[in-house]
Amino acid sequence: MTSLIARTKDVLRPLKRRVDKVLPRTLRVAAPVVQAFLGGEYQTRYTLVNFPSLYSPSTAHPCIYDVALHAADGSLIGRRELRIAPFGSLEVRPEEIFGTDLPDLGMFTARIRSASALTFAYKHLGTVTSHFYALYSDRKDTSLALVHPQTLVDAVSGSQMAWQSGYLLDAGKIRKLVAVQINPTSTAATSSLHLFRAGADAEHLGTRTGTIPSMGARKVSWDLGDIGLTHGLFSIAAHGLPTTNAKPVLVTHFADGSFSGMHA
Amino acid sequence: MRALLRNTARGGEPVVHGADTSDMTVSLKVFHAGVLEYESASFASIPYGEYAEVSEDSCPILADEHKEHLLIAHCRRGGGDQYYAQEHQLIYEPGSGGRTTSLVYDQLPVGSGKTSSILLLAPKAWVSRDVDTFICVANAGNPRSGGATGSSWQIEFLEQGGSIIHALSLDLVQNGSHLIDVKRELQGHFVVSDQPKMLTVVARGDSAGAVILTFLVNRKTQAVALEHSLSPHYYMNGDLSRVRREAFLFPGIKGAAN
Repeated sequence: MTSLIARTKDVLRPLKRRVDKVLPRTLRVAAPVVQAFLGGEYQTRYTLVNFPSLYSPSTAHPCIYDVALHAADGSLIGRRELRIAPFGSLEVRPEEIFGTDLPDLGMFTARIRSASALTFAYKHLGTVTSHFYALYSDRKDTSLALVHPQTLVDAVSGSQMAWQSGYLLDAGKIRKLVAVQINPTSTAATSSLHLFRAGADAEHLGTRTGTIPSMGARKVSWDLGDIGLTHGLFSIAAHGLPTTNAKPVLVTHFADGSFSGMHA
Repeated sequence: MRALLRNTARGGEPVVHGADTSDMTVSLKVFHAGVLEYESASFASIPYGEYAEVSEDSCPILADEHKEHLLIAHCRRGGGDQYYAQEHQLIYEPGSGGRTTSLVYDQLPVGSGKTSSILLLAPKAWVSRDVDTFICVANAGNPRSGGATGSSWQIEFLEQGGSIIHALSLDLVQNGSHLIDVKRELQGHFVVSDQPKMLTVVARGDSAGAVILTFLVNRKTQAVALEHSLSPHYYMNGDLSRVRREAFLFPGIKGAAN
């Protein structure tokens, strides 16, 4: 009986492939893409783009992004549907779509989908992933940090990971380092961050261990002088990450009060 | 500008017992507008776990602030000549205020095969009275077939509604770099205000060997943000050849989004 089923499937498989080629199908999408939200002294913007239309311009269609914003404790602040024209893009200012009563810290998620269920223009794109950029600034855009996202909702857990950033940061220029971690999974995650001098990774400086709620975020800050980092190069490492690529966003504050930032 | 060339585990992975921990040797070439201006076959030898800095201290030709340079570092480990996959770090320090911006960046080696096309999708250009965006295209690709050098590029600037504001063509010299000043290119085509407006820059070139970086600059405060682009395979996993082919149709349907 099992062999009969297998043979039947073998016979039907080419037919299914032929039918799949001609039937409409909406975009096949990966899990939502996520990135940190910074409020308070910071300002955050995200850039969504109708990339399927740019990759397949002769059959361009509008698209919809389903976006959501979560607070640091994981609670949902809001969800919205955002429509983007062919070849278009959208600068998302969270205060304009989720209201002005926003937390200082959170997590933004975005997932693209077809505006129409009856289009098959993008079948050749395969599975699409809704990447976007985040721009962090102060309220007057006097400081700027541009960061691409790194992880998706419910990506593979990095709870057992020992990770070191590839960045070497200059303690002679940076006064304060802020690391922002997000947890885009359905369970709380524990992560321990520490700093270390270049070439001396056995000595952990400023270890900060904490639990990040499901769909939440945490922010860790080091005044480098307080932990003896006043000169030379240093880096950041973690034991345990919410997902394997959920590395912290780093915000580097300088002596003049300005900041820059990067994905670690 | 400084570049830190690293001989370490890649991407934060811990060193695996028995892993190759041999030294990394670096040869360096510095070009300006396609002309080789400096070459060192033995620029650095980096023990495992260490790094070497490329800067005007270690390479004085870089001290000329009014000249752009394209650097090609050939990193080898052990006795072989194969590609060593590693992320290296770029550091830019605008002015003398002590602020820096950095990027750890993974760049494929200069290829020896046929030239293929490249797509840039950059929904991350902001312009305002104070803010400007610079897109740097460094063309380290191969000569085109037939012995011609350089690389042809078509570049479009799109507003958020999808309309093309402006388009331009570039012919980039091999081993040269070109800085696209978005605000300057849009003069007469787009009105800037105090509030930064986000635009998308789309570019198609015939050299996959280009390195493309985007700098977002507040000219008043000298704040700089730096990020690389995400190539199409980050966005989709289907028929990449068809996407590269069809995306070049885009200029032909100018106005379709209006």
